[in-house]
Amino acid sequence: MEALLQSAWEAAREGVLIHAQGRVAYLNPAAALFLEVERDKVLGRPLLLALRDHKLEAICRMGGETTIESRNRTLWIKAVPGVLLLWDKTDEKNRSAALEESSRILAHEFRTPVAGMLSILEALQNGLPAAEAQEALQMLYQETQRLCRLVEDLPLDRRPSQNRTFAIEELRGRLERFLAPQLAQKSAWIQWQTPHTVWANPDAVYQALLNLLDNALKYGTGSEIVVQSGQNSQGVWLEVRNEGQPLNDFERLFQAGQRGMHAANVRGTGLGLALVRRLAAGWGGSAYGRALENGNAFGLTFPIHADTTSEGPSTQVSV
Amino acid sequence: MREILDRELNQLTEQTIRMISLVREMTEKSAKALSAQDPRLAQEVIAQDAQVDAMELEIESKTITLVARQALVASDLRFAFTIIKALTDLERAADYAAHVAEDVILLAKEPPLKNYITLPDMGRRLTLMLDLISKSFAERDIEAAKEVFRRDDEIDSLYEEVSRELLTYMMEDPRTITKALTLGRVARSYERLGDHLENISERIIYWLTGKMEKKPEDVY
Repeated sequence: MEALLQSAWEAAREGVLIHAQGRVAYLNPAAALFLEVERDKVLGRPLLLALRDHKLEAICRMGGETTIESRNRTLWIKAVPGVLLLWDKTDEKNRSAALEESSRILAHEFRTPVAGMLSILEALQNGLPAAEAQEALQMLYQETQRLCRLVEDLPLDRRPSQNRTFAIEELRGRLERFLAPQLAQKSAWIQWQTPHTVWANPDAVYQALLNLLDNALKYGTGSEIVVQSGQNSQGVWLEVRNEGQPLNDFERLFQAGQRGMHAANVRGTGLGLALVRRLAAGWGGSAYGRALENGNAFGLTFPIHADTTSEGPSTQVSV
Repeated sequence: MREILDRELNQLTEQTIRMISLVREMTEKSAKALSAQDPRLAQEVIAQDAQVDAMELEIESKTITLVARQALVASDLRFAFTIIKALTDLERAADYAAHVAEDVILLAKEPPLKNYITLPDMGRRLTLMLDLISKSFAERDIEAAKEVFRRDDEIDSLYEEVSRELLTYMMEDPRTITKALTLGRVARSYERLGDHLENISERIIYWLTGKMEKKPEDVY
């Protein structure tokens, strides 16, 4: 029976360490792995030489259970007289952290459109002329549809089948109407120079542009925001340019959780540009930033769509 | 006779490992406090510094008594001197963790300059270095001690990176100077903490091999 128990512990994924008179009497391979010790070197030696952690030692002495960070792992441990049991909870903790990050990303993706929809609803509640009310309802319908697609599309990895060739100009009306309250608040306007078509998921491009325009309105200092597209040998680029102090740490800004040095007093999560980059990667493009003489430009690239079999024309100038 | 000496040497080893573990906890907490801008956690680190100081005095006193009473020779003598030297470095390392905690309390009073990523990363890397020191000490593992050298190079590189970044912030916007200087002090504290851990590794290698091994760039 004892031999059976020992062979079971030898194969167990949980760690077990048995100690007597302050010395290590047995530890299984899992415990050796979690504690990063070589069994031969600690068997029969003082317990602390295997644990190498004053908190673990205290728990062994007093008994009880707790979670600790040790040797770059998250360990859940339980101590009863003479026995220390260890479970590696690192993966669980990492999954929980990933879930939290997903929640933050989702909140960010929904916050801007929901705030826009709320202001349209408030305008409707206060009374709008019939034609404008009809337009507002149409916008709400379109936004709701977009959010529905966003929910269906979780977790943000858009399927290639949703890509299609469309003119960037298609997005202009919806974006301007949607950002109208913020534009009015800052007495700002958008100048569009976007004669190109691209092959991408229109919802993803809409979301990326919404994030970039939202940033330009939050952090830009001038009244004019320029949205311009162009073409080179690699494909089409699309930039949102605003006036303001030129930045120099663009790559860092595209990392989740990073914010610009002038953003300390503006509400934000530091996720917007990271999302823009993920969205751009979804259609095979990229996202970048560059400093201008008196401001900054944040851009998207769209590769030339070479599939001539079913998806229609390749990327081209639409006029 | 040898049995008594071994027991006393083991006790010294255990006490030193407890001290390393406490310094590790302080370093880890300082990084967490910085990342979360948590002054309460920072206060805990500052309070623990006194514990480290008390441990230093106690272990030092026991070691000196042991050397005097047992007339230690060869590797036992090297071990005793390794402990004496390591105690000073450990105590200084704890001071630097406490300095970081003091700066966290200052930083937490205002909105952060940015999300702090690299500095807490330095703190986490230092805790791993302390794990390696503990392992090399407990298991007489020379390779683990040498690994500390390599890790300290990474800390030095991160320090350079952070210093350059902070300089850019200050040049771009003079309003950031006060915060950037405080963050520079945090980076400097972590860099110095790493140097003390490297010193301890050198002493451990000396204890285990009888040869003083230094990183090539540290030999003048």
